Amino acid sequence: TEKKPYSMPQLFRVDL
Amino acid sequence: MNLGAVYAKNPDYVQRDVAGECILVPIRRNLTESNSIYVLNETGAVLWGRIDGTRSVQTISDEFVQEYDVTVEQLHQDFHTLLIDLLSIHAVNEVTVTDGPTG
Repeated sequence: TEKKPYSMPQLFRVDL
Repeated sequence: MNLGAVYAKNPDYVQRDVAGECILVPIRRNLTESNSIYVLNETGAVLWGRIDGTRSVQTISDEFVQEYDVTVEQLHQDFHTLLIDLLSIHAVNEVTVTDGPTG
C-alpha cells in the first residue's frame, strides 16, 4: 500500500 | 521522550469534526483561561484519535509510520512536540510511565 503524504502534526489555537 | 508512556484524553475536551477540520472544544473553562478552541491538522487528528489511555507512544508511532511517509525518528520528534502542546492545554494527561527506550 502506498503511504500517505506526511505533514508535521500541529495544534492551532483559535481565539474566541 | 519516553516512548513507553501512555496518554489519555481529558474528558473535559470534546472533539468535533467540522468542514473536514478536527476541532477540540474545552467544555469546562477556568476563569483564568482564555476562550479558545483548538484545531488539529490531518496528521494531528490521526494521532489524537489514537490516544486512548492504553496505547503507548511507541505503539501509536509504529502504527502511524506504516500509513504515512515518515521515518519513525522524525515522527517521534514531531509527536513529542504535539504531546507537549496537548499537555500544555490539559487536553491529555499521562496515565502510566514505563521504563521504555528514550528518544
